[in-house]
Amino acid sequence: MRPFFRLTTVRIVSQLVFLGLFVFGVWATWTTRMQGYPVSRFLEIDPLVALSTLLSTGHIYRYLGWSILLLLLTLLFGRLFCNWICPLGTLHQCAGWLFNVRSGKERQEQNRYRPRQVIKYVTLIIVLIISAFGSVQIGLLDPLALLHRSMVTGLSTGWDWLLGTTSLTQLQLAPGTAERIYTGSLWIGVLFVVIVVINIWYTRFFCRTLCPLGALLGLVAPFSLFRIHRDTDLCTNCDLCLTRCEGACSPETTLRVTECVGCMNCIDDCPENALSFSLPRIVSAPARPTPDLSRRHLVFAGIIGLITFPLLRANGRVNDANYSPLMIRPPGSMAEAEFLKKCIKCGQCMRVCPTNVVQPAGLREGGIEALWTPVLNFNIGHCQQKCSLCSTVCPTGAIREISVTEKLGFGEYRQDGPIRLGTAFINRSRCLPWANEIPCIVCQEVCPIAPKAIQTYDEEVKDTFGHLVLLNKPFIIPDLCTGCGICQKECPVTDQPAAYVTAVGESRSQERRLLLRYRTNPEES
Amino acid sequence: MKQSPLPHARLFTPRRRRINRTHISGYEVVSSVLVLLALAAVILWVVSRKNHFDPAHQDVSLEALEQVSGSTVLYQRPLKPWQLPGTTDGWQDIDLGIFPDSVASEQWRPKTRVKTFDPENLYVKINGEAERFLRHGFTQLSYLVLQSANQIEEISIELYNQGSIAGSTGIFAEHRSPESEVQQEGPNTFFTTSIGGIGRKGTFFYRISGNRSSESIAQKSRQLVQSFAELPDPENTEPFGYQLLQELTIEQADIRHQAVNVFQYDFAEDFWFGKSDGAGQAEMFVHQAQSPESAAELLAEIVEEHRYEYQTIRQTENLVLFQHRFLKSYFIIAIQDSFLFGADKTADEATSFQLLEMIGRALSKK
Amino acid sequence: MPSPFNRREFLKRIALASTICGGAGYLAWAPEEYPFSLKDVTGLRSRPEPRQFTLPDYRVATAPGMMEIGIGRDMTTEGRLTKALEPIGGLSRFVQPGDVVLLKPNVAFDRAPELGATTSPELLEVLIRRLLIDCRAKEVRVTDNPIESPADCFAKTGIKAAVERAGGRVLLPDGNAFRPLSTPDAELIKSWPCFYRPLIGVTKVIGVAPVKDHNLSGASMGIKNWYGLLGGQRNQFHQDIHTIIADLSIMIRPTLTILDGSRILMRNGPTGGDPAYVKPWDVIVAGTDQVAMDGWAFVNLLQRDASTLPHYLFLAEEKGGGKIDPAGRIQESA
Repeated sequence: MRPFFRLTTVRIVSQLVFLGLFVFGVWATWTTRMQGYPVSRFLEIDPLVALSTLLSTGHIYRYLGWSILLLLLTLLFGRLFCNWICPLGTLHQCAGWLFNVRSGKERQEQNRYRPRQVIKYVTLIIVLIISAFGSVQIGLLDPLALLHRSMVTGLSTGWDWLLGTTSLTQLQLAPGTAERIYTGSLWIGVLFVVIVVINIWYTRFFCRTLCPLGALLGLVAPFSLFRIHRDTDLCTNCDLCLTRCEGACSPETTLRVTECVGCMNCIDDCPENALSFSLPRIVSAPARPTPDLSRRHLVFAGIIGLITFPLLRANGRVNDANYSPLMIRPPGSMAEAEFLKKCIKCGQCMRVCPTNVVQPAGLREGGIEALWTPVLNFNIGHCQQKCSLCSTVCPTGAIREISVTEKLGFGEYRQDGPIRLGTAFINRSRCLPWANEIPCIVCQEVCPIAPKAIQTYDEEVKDTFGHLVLLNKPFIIPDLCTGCGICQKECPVTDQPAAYVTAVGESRSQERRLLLRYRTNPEES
Repeated sequence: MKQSPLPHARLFTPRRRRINRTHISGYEVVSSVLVLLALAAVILWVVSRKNHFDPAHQDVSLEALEQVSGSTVLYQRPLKPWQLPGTTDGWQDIDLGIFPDSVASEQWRPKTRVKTFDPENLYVKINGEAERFLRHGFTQLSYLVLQSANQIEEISIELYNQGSIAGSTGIFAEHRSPESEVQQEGPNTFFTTSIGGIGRKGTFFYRISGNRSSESIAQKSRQLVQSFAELPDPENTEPFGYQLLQELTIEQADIRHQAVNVFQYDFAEDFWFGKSDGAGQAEMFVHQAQSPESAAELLAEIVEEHRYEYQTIRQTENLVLFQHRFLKSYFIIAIQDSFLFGADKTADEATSFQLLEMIGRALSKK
Repeated sequence: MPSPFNRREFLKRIALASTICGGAGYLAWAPEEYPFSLKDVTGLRSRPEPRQFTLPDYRVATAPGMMEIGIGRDMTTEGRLTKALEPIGGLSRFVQPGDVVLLKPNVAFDRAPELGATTSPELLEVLIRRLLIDCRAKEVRVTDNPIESPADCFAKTGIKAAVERAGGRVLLPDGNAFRPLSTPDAELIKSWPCFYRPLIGVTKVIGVAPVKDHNLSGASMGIKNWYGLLGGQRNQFHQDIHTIIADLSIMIRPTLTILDGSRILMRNGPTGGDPAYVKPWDVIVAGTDQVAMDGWAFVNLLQRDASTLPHYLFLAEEKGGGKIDPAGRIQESA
């Protein structure tokens, strides 16, 4: 008997739908494809994102409140999210199933509960404690952020490159995306590949052992209305229910509600029809409503959490004295400390950026604490003047939603002035006119500010070959410069550009200001 | 030989999905359908979100651009032309601002940049004296120091823009003393001092002073005065009184303007004075009032106040002749339409009437 | 005991071995000019071969009694264009039915059309309609390689919408659209990456350029517009911009050049950005001699002194891109 309308098939459909929607979200996060689709919604319904940013900032940004839907789902049906919705869970399950060549007995042993599954609760406690201190690190392991980041830096670059090189007409689906790069994407990819490949050795290692979102939902799941019930009268203790158990939640003995991901496979696998997913029953084996967290675990997690924050902060890239000149944040970003309270490293801003300038930060920009948060690398691209897409897609408000008018400081934002990402400088020892008596004024030409923030000293000189040449030697007017970086991008001294932008003067932080007052706009304060 | 060189191993799971249970409840079927419907709803919702939003159209409105249009004006540095090394010490690069280029030369080089002062900070340059200039409509002071090639002599030039001819003549009149020999050279009116000169041209008033008295400084001062002829002419036409007195063949040097406190009366303002040749101390004056009525009012007030020091010799409807009680000089004042005019400090009655008639004639010609 | 290895087997093995060795030896050691030789003495053979292409001359034959440059003044874009084309024989003299026409507007920046930094969309729309309806062109393509993101530039300048309204096709550049273009007569860009894909099948090319101030070269008009066909490291061009622009005048021989004098960017070029820098005007210049047109526009549209004509015009004249003096070849429609 293989009827279609049963929970396991519907589950698979659901998984495919949500995986499809997730991939579609990544696909559609691009200027020409957005067309109003809710591209960040997956990240916004993640209750772990809402909880940790609530702990760090005390507030709930924009659409994050919708994560209540997931909590509601969990309160009704347990950790269904993990096996019905979570696209990373789908990938894990798929990898674990596809490459599983074990015999039936081996598989049952695989899926027995292991004490190490408690690690995820420890992880959760640690990341929440750090969040409460003001450093949101859930993004490293949160399945949605992790998968999203990996897709952005890996998969999406791949498909866009493929489309770009193979499309036969010039009318591409993704003009401008064909040659995208993400610095340090290798390590993002390695983390992703490792957690997927690990399924061959141990099925759903990530979900059972590491996932902090699973842990959070697991703590809520015991209050759910529905759960798997085992009719002890019918059960013959054959252990067949373990064969394809995804959560390793002991359906054969005392069901661990915190571990059960609602795959419903045990129901299908029971020859005695002893298992069901239902409201509380009279004849039913007892369930275990709490995780195996002992006081030792709690104390241990607490201590780790308490010492991790100072360890991260003392690393010393967040304060205003030792910040990296490369730590240039996208327009609309919060001041650095606030930023780290919100950024979940999902890579949505990197994906949507039309010029590829938004890059995952490596260790040199912000240390471990800011790893994979967005920074602007003006060697790769520049921040387009009339674009604020990164701010509109950011799920947590680390990049606050701004309009182009606000970004450029026009109209009602005249008093705030433009949003300054940093300040451009000219390295006179590498600049062709300054250092080599060769005319070149690309930086001034491309400067989009009116009047131009790069002006020139015009001078006639005889060069070393005796030719009379007119040199326009550029200099920056910091009052006008918004740090968009197009001068750095277009500088012909490409490896270490003579025109370059550093973070000082960024308007998101008073402490990192450069000028006492802006001579061009006395209103600006 | 038939065997594959690699041992055969399964890559993918060999099992098909199968189910062991024998019963599926109706609830399950119904809820499965419901879930499928919910999934379809989710997909529909996502699809329905599609609109024609194209982020590429984000832009700043033209109105916002126009609001700040042209608000920032940058100084455009002049091109630095090629020069053979050793031909200069670089003084040519100094921007002389409002000063004519001929001010600087190989012999007399600018020692510093041109400094400018406006009414707010004039006191920084000439503390104590600033009030005088401000009273006469001061707008800007440009200050430049020239140094001789041998670096011994220095000349400082103060060039005041008084904003109007009235202002520059007024401040010039305050500087000249009866002894100063005022000369007229083209548009320049000036007199020399032992270390330089003082003069005016159009709306400008200038003071040139060397650091010592020497032939070369005197020469340079003369040359500076000449070069000031190149200063821009006033934008407005010459004021009425100034024109009128010039038509009476009064030297520019002898024309002065008094903005306030004329005849020491706080109600009398904006009078032009001119000294006629061969009339000794006598000075003609003219004033244009807003209307004939206000002119008559002003006349009445002056006559009223003058009675304390003068005795009335003759008085008609539009003419009054006074004689000072002690100095015995004459003061005549007349009214014609909105003009008040007359002569002060004349030696006798005849001269008074003669001067008055001169102005009267010139006025009626206008 | 029989040997497991008989003579026959032995000879077969030897033959196989010597065939493999001989074949491999031939491929490896045969001199380069021999057929199938893989030998590479200098290490240069393994370099990828540049797939250069050349551009045909897109000009049409000159007609007797026709002017080379026409000037049209009118209140409407439509009228301006008609009047400008009149003295040179109308659009149908240049484009025949079935032609595939490539329009090259200046879409270099993501600025609103009112800011004068780009070709006006109204003109493009009118022109494309004419080409498709009056001249029955098979296809009209519009392309440019902007500095900013292409999608944004084409959208914000209103050109994408205008072109699509009129029935043309916008081709956005990507990394694969370029191939080295061989221009043997050029001085600095003898071989430089140029649009290749949009040019496939094109029979007529029309440049539609705005008239703009340009900080480095003086002015950006008809010739400088072809800059947007090139890719590669364009930022090196500024080291000798005049020679580059002169090279552009002979790199492509367009069918027709149209100067859009409806919004003239007088200052802060080529980006502009302040409406105060733009002078609205009512002129369109159309013609076949870009050098003369640029010279005329520099004096009459940008209103600069003729003694400050950009140096590149003289260089272009020297290279044969055209003649600066328009005397006798220019006519303004009544």
